[in-house]
Amino acid sequence: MSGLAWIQLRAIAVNVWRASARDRILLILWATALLFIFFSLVLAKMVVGSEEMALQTTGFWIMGIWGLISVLYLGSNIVRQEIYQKTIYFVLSRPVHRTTFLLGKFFGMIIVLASLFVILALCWLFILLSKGVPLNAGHFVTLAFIFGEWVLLASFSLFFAAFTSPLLHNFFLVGLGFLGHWSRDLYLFSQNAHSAIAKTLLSVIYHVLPNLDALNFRQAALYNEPIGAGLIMLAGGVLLAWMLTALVGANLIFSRRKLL
Amino acid sequence: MSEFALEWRSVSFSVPHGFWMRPKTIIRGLDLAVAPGSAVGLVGPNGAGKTTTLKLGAGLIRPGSGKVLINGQPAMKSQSRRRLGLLTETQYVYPHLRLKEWLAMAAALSGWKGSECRKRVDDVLQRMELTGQADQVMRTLSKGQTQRAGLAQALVHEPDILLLDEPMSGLDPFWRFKVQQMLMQYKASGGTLFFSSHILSDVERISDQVALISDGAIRWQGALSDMPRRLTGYEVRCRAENPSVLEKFAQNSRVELQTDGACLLSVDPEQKEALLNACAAGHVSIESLMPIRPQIEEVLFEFNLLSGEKD
Repeated sequence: MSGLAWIQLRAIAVNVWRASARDRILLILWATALLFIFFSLVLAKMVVGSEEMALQTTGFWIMGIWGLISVLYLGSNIVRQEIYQKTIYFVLSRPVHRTTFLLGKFFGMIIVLASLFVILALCWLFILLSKGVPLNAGHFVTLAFIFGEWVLLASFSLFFAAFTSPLLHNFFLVGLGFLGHWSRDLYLFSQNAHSAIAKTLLSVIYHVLPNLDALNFRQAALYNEPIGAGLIMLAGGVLLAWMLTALVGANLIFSRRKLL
Repeated sequence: MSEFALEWRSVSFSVPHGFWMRPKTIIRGLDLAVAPGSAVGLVGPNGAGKTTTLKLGAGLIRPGSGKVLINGQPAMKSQSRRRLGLLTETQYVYPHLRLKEWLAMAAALSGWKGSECRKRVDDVLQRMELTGQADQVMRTLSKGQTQRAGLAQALVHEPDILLLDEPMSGLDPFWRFKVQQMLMQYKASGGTLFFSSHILSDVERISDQVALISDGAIRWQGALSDMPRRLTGYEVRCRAENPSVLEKFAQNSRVELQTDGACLLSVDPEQKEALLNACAAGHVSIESLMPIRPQIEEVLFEFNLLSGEKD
């Protein structure tokens, strides 16, 4: 990538960050996430069983789901709004390649998501420490892969945003988010299904969708189980491969997209 | 190096239209060339394809057929647009950005960074007298200020080629004059100008050449002096001892008597000789004789009528 492309990429990413930092709805969304993290203290008191376990599970769940919500909000309009408000003309009338535009948007989203993630994770870790929950390496690996899942969702969001309306984008992304976590179950269903059509359909969905559960180390963190370096590498590889696939797909579609 | 700064070669462009998304042709076989350092004004009625021609020139849209070139390179290639500035008719601003952030983004997208970027932004803000609005959020700027901001973003990276869509739109008379001066200065410094405008007096003042576009095709291109503006008569200011002798030269026999005793009349081209003879004979004393040619608007109207008949 040339020096010019880096400057352009930075300018586009900073613009995404500025738009988000000045977006009241997004700020309310973030505040709600923080509220939920602190509300987990109350929830943990209400559950039957270990309070420590409940605190950790709720925290992981909130961070997982807020990633999806944030990506839905950020991604649904990230390309559409540029085309609808025609601000894309302002960018593309300069020596900006469409790939640079898309990557700038992607990195902008990552900066916004990373900011939210750091705030949420720090608050959650602070709560755990204040409640005397012992932290292990698994917690940090899990956190890293929860953020990895956010990044993966952001790249798929960009892929969907490159060709669909915000409504369809949200529909596809929610589907991907949930089905991706049920990937193993889909595989089991496909193996046990009696109907050939159902078997094929479930098998196709299993192979087409990224297996988000491969990035899930929550159980290992909760029960302080060691996570092998090989497994981490494999999960990292899966994450990277799916992310690149989504980004390349988004780029191929967006490069050919006709502007009016 | 190409012979032309901008070139449209047999360009056609259509958009999907209606429920069945049938192609509707906006530009049909457009041929146009703009030489480096020249100023070409694109004139035509609403819906003639002026904005689309500009968008094609800026590489924003891909032609269905034909080629659009900037300095000999395809306009769709991002590097071709490095020295190009575009002012769209409506300013497409990011509503959350402050003016100086927007301009800094424009400069960064053209490759400027750090102190040089800030310097250029400050400079262009000063030139457009927008320094006081630098920290203002863009959506709070007035229409005229937004238009000036648009020109500022087009100039911030000091482009060699400027594409302007209705550059005077939304400007008050003072700023229309100032922008005219700026554009003339830009041209004098060697810049290439290609602009569309409805204000034909601006086109006349700024451009070396005019291209008349109608129904997506160029109907005529050339210097304004070459424009076929037939002579319709002469406006004569003269004095005569007996003003009634002038009636036989005047169109519709109408002679206007001025307060200072002079007479004002319109004379048919065929009557010019006879009037000059009367002057030579000492019956009439001519103070001024000015040819009457149709306004550029009238010529354009005629062109549109002709093209309409042709199609």
